[in-house]
Amino acid sequence: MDKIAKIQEDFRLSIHKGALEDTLVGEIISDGISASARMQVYQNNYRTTLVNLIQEVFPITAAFVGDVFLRTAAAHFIEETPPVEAGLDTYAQTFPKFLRAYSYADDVPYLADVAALEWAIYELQHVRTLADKAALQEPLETDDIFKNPDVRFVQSAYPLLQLWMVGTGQLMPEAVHIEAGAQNVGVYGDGFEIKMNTVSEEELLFFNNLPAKGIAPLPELTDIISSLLEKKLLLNVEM
Amino acid sequence: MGSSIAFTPSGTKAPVGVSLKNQHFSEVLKERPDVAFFEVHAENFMSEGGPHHRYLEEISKYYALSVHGVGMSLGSATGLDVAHLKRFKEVVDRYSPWLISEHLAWSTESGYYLNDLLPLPLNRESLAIVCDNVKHMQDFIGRKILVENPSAYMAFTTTDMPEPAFLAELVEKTECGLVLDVNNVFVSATNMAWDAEAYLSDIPTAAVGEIHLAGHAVKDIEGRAFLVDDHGSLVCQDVWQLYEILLERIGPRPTLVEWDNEIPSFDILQGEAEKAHTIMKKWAEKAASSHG
Repeated sequence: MDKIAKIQEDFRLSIHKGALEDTLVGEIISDGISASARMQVYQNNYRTTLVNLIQEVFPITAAFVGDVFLRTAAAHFIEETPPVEAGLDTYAQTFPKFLRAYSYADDVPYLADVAALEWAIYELQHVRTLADKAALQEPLETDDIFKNPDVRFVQSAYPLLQLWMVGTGQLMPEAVHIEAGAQNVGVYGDGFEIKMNTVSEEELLFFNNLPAKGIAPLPELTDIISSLLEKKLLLNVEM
Repeated sequence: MGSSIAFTPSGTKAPVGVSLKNQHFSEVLKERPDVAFFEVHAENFMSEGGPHHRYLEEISKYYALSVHGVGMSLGSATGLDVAHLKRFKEVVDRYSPWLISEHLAWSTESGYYLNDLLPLPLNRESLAIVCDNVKHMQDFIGRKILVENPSAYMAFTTTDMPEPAFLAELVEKTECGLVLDVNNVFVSATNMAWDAEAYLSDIPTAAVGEIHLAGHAVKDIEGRAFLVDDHGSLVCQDVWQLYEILLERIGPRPTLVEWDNEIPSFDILQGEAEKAHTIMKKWAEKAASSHG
């Protein structure tokens, strides 16, 4: 291995491990300030920037556990899942999955679901292009229905939408009981706005089994279709 | 190479710009502040969608843009990440920026991204690596780039070329230009105990296509003042003085005031841009009177 490549490998290991690799000590000039203190500046920059990024994406999740908890969890996430590409816009995508298995969050069993909902909103707002719905309607008949292409579903064993309202200050915590049961939430883009609604198991099943292209409404499923249309999770040509 | 570097973007009054942050999008569109150009980080515009694209598309109708990369890793011994290069080119093609820049630094290794501008030993081996990578990037995007001197917190025992000499050879071998970040010069000079003014006098002046100014944080490390380039405060007096010295030496160049953390109100950023503009005007008056 060439000299520069070896230095870069050792440097990367020093940042990931949070400790200066022995093989790098002789490579760094340490007049006045030690090599390990100089390396620590880079270690801190790396960790702090990524922790800040996670905190910016998940402020509602943090509202349930506090900033110190969230930042500590983020630091553990970064150790477990270091970034692999320079564009960091989707780096936080797997943080909800990490929280689901994070033993320190065992006492807050709904936390991962809140984080999943927060990521769904963030992704629709900041990462993905909302589809051109007018273009999707072109081949359809006037009463055909089709899936809103900008929908994300989060399934939860807890009253997720109510918990979200607690996190955002719209409901008092005592108004929600986590034993209240499962709640699935559909998040969708509506113009420049992101909206959300609860979705029943039947609605979710129907939506997931619907073909990507539009279909004519089925008479026996009128209630489900009406409900999904009202929630804008399904669209028709007139919407 | 595609573009030459003009001092003033067309349709603008003065070549002083500021960082464009999300917090200021609406205000910029509404107020149309009197700055010459805005800088954005390429990596923040690599997602396919999001309202930030809609804002930037609108803002770019009124202002020149400088697209500044922070993740290309021009110093990587293993070459450039082609996927990142493609995403960078998409940003360039979408916004046709006036200036394009990256750093003399590395940030990727073994497929990991380290999210920082990491230092290189400066010697023949690293020069060959950086030259190859700069040529690759310029060829791929079809544009000339400016390479910025980084802030450094350490130096290597295997460095045998001063940074200005390294940059001069890089310019000569790749036909790239330079971003001279005066704050980075001050930060590195303080941290490594070298002479900032000597650095400025050794830099290849004709290649400087843009000057950067920013704030830094002062830390105490092992009992010594140590500077961290955090772009989170006003430009300090020492850096303004170095900027004046630099203009005396090379004349006015497009100047950017960067601010990436603890984002202040736009007025503060614009005030910093005004200070740079005032120094530039002072230089111009002095130059005119000495020629008169």
